[in-house]
Amino acid sequence: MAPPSRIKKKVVFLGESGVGKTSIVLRYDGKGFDTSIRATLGASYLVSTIPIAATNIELQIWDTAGQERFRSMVPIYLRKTDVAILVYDITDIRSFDQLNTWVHFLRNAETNDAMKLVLIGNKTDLEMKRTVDQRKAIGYAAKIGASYHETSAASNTGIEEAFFELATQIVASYPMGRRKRSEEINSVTLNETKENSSKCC
Amino acid sequence: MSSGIATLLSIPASTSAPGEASHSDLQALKDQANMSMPQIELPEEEPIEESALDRLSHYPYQVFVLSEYGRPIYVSCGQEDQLCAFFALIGVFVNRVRHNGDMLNSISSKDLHAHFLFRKPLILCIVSKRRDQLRSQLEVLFNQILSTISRKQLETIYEKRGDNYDLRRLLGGTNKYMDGSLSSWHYDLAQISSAIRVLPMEAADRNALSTTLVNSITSANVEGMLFAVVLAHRQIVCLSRLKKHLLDHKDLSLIINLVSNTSTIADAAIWTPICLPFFNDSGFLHAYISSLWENSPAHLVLLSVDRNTLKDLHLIKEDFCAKIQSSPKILNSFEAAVTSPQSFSPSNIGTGSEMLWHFLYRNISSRQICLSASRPPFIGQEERVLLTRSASRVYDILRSVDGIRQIFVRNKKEVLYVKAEDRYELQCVLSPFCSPTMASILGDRLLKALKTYEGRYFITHVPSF
Repeated sequence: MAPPSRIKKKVVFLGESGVGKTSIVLRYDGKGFDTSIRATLGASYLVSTIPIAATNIELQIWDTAGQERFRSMVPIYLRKTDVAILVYDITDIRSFDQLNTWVHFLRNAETNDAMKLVLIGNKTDLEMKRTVDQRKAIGYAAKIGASYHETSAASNTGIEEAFFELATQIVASYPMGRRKRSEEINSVTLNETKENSSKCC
Repeated sequence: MSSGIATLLSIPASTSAPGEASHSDLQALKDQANMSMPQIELPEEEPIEESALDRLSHYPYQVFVLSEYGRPIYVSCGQEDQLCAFFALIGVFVNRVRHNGDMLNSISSKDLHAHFLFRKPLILCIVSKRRDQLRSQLEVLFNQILSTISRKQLETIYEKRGDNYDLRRLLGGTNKYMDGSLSSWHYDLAQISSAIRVLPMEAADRNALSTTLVNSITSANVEGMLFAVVLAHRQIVCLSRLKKHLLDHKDLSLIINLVSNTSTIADAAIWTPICLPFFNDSGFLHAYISSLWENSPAHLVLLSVDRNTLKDLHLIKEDFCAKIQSSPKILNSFEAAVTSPQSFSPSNIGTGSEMLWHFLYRNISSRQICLSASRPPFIGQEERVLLTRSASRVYDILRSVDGIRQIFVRNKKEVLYVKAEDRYELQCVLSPFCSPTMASILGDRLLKALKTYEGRYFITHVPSF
């Protein structure tokens, strides 16, 4: 028995407004980086498929708005989530301190049992303005059971890797052919995602 | 502060660049202020406030929103924090008159007009070099705010959080919609006419499209689904509704403003709460917004009372798209209507049509307008702006003077002919050589032609499900 040919996963982006959730999603979706991106309205929903060996992973991505007035909608957005991606801005300590609120939402939401948690520190292109210590963030990620990545949507670093690791973990969580699959994955997807995301505006 | 009002209320005759003018102007204003009130020393932060006010005088209009307690919420030029004292002043003006048991509506000088609107707990104020439709602009902006924060929320928020609550926390990210609401008064004749525009399309094609939409909705049978709207280029393509429910044109224009100011990721759908104040101003509906194909200017908006219906509404959209794609006839007519809309051409009225340069027809009961296709001399942006200004002025005149049936104005460059009846209003811009009799004949001919092509330019039936 091999992993199914099609896996559907619901991925939700969470975090304070202005940390770059939409920019990460756009970058991942091969749409480049746009400085004129404005606040997200409610949540936006898109489907993206990553082919990994014989498996198509269909990610149903929910990019949510960070604004206070959408907080009452967060439990709705989180229902049956398989992956929660928490994003903060490495130059904005407040966005890091607020992570607890979002974790609290996650703990109280009806997410799927085996939900994976990813913590992303975004805006590494502004390294000189960093106010959140990387070690502190890694420690926090470990505490909440999340994998940790640092990315820059502006300079397109780390995003491919984060999604790639996620996809690998998803395939690997299916019992059969674990090791062999993840090796195949390497050769196939790296090319795929590179082509997708190299278009920049 | 007094110098501040002077800056805003008197427009400098020479409009030099803000940077260079500020120094000498500031000095002059400070001198004035010192002359009238020598006993008051200017506080330290005054220069920032003054230069911000100086900046304001260069705009053709400016809109302020504040809480009744004087806390800044929004200013159309941005950076409301730099204008705290000016906001406070607006608050004092309005509140002072309220305490006397009256209401401050407007202050006018020769070339500057200020209008105030008090909608507890908010104060809205517009200061403009033009006087048309100032109140309407504030009312529509207030509706825009209500679409984000329902009236019920707005009324209780200050009780819950205290008088000093900063409403910007709840409005975060909505400046673009407020900006969009205000700027539409300068180009969108539908906004100016307090109406909606219908995308021109053959009646049979529109019916086929709305029937397909209704079929997708009925077969999905989603509990709580209320309205469906297909729109493109700020114009309505088709509509459908749950039996016994109606969508007000003012709510519809809020939806248009929302869609046209939201940048969607190509194929992503949006799921957001929205309050439609003319449907129910105390609660929220949930809007599903999605473009119909990649990079399409056409969007589908589905409204539901249930916040859990996103998945179901998404399936309706998928089904609707699949049905359109599988019917070449519907797909082709829809794509053609969206990519190259065929507005009403004056040549439809036959002889004399070369005299008719532009018209705006407004149906009073359906609140739908029909515009002529653009033609010389109204092609460029500035020329189009002249048309919107004239339409705006006519709209105000028809509402401020009772019983006007016809207006004929001969200008140097064009003739303006207006006909107002109980069922409609018609504004025509004609060649300057057109006589009143000719204008009236052409107007009647136009009305007849509009009747003939009614199905193409108006939605006469909204199917329900």
